[in-house]
Amino acid sequence: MESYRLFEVNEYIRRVMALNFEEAVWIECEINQIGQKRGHHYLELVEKSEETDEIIAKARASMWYKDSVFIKKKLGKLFQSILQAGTQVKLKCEVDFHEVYGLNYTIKDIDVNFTVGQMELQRQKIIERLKSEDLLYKNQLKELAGVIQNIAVVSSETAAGFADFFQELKTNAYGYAFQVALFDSSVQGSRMEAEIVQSFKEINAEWRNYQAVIVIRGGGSKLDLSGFDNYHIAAQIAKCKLPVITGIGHEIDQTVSDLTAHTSLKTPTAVASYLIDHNMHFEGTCIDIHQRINELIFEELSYHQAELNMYMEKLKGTINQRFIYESTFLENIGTQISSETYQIIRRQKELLNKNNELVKAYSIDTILKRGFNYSFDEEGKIIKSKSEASKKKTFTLQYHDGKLNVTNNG
Amino acid sequence: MAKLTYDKAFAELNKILDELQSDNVSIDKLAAKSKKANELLAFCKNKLRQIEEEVEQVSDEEE
Repeated sequence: MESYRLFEVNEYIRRVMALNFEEAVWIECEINQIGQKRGHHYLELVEKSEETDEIIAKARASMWYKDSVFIKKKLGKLFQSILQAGTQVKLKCEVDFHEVYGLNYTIKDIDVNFTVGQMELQRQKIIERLKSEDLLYKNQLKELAGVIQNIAVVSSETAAGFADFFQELKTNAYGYAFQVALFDSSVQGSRMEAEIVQSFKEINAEWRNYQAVIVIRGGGSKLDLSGFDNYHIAAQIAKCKLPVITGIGHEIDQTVSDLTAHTSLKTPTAVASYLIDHNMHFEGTCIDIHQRINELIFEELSYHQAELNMYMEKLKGTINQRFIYESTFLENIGTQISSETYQIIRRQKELLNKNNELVKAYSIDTILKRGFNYSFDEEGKIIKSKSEASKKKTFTLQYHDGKLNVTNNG
Repeated sequence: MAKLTYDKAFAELNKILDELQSDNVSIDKLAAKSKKANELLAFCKNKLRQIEEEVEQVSDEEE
């Protein structure tokens, strides 16, 4: 059998490849590993079985510096987001075979829409799963406490969003106090899922210490935030024993984590404002109630005051009347008593006068004046009859104007 | 003697008036009755004035 030199074979393969891959081809795959050296990117591309997740194809690829400049310019911020292990990509590659280096795909272009579409597809799958497990609206059923002051924050201490959030809370115009407990977790990258899940486990273990959980990070591109389009994180948020409020980016689109949260807001600052407003609303309600109570008390007092005044006036009137009545009565009774007294005295006087007249009428003087007289003997003894008088030698006759001595001659 | 009250004094005044009106009073006791009546009258008037003042004082304090 004929044998060939390695170079001959490799050269043959190169020619076959070059003939069959005259133009670059678009390849859909997943970035398994990626590294950078002197401006060049070196990648390991894989395809996994949809059913088993096993790798069914693998290849090396490189993106040369000059190509990467062109692609970077085209992709902008997304460049970094896409060129990460685990990203589903569609790459325009030239298929090269080199006698020394073997098979290599040279990346000439990246289809951003494919990655975004894949992510959206992935996102929809996660949403469907959450929905089927009744997790999508589970956290929204939790009731927010009237006042939120003790907060568990899932974020990275170094994230710009956390600093914004903390600053906003601390300097709130109403002087509300907030206690913030940070559960430090990566909010991007490969450790993100595990760390956030762990943080939620810790929070649930001591959930009574807090009124709400806040998940925040600074803004980023849509792909940057894809970490929050994660089933496990979204499920943790849904199942959390406390209401979860998210503020994980500036994007218009919501991540799956936003969907399962109690409330999702655009930025960490917005979350802080929301908390402050929430507490202010509570305080406002308290002030209203207090005011209403005061009003009711005032109304009640006024009513009773008026009633009392009325009673007082009535009382005054009645008492005055009573005084007038009593005084009048006293006056009357006094007058009556004195008049009665005088009458009695007058009647008594009249009676006495009448007696006096009688006494006068029957007095000796009066009788004598009327022409009567009486006689008495030498001893002054009254002579009451003729026979008595005839026995006396002398006796005296008493007239009203004098006495007359009488001698009895028989 | 029990403390004299307005009501007692007033009742006694009425009694004296009744007695006087019914000519039941002996003339000997008239002066005494009259004196008693005047005393009772003075007592009642005093008491009334006193109570009136107190009432006014209390309502002044309230206002």
